[in-house]
Amino acid sequence: MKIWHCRKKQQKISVLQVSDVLVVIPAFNEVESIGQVVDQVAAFGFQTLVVDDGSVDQTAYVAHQCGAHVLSLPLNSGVGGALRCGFRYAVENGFTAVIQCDADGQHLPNHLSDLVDATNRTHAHMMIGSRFGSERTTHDPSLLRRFAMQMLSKVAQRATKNIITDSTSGFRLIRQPLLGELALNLPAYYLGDTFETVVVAGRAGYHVEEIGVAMAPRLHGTSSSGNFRSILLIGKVLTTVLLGIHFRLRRLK
Amino acid sequence: MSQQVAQALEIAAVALVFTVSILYLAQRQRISFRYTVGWLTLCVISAFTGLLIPMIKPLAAKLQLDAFALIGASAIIILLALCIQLSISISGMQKQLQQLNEDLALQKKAAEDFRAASK
Repeated sequence: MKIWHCRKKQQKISVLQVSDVLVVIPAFNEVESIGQVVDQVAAFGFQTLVVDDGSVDQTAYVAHQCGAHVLSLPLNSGVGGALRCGFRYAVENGFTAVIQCDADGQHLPNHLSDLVDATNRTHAHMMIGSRFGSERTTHDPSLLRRFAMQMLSKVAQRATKNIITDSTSGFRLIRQPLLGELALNLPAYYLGDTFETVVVAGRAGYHVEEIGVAMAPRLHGTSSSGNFRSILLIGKVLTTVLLGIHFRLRRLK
Repeated sequence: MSQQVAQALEIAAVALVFTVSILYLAQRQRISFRYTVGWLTLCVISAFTGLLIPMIKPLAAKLQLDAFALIGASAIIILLALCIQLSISISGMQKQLQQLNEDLALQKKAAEDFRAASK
């Protein structure tokens, strides 16, 4: 692995290879789509870890049959909890970075390499795949939800001192040392693993960037949160961040 | 019967109802021993609150409160403190449960990998 020094932060930055990256897919009752998603990710040469979040269907079995590493959580713990377990696995098994990706097929695997390339180019600790940064995206939230997301983005931009248009995107690359910190501290509640993590990482001095990605329609199923619930949860997480009662990370030295 | 005695008896009756409820839950293993003891202690204190009224009165007068208002306020403060303690306890348990959940999944995967490697 090639190691060189980033002058800006005066720390060792490794150039990421595909083999250094583990694609972590949290999945809850996604038997209809998980096989296709794992196959697509594997076609781009990435190792895949499916974290089965207490599914009652054959999600874990199908993922295993398709060649993915599988972690089966006995209890449903939410996307954040499943991701944290995946991050722990990545750290324990020597991966330098993870890409978190949804199990419903909305995140296009051809953007996995784009995330890696952009990370190598910018030396970011977190590279977000923004749904609003591409003309090809099919993501079209309601007006109210879009407004709420813009508010979140403003807070995220302030924390990261960078342009962040989609702080709630669940498609992102996270590398060490931020990965190790999140493996210990990532919260399990809704938006804690996305928006709150961006803000907390920014406030702790980590480098957060984003690139535009296209998004596909779901292969199967519907969103777990309706508009009203989403707005409520956005309000909750915004309050958490504005009051400073969010989780903490050790500051980047 | 004076009004004061009547109020003391009412408080004691309510405390008795709570005591019976706590004992009922404890006998059915719905509350752990630790919490049973805590709640029963509170019930006993509440049952005898009526007897403390003559002692509370001077303090209540200093605070420009009725004795029963002072008792009510004290009860709310104690219950709030208990609720906060329980919130801390539950939050800690949630964290432990999540940790256990993850550990179990990771251990299972490690065991599966080990089995596959040793075949």
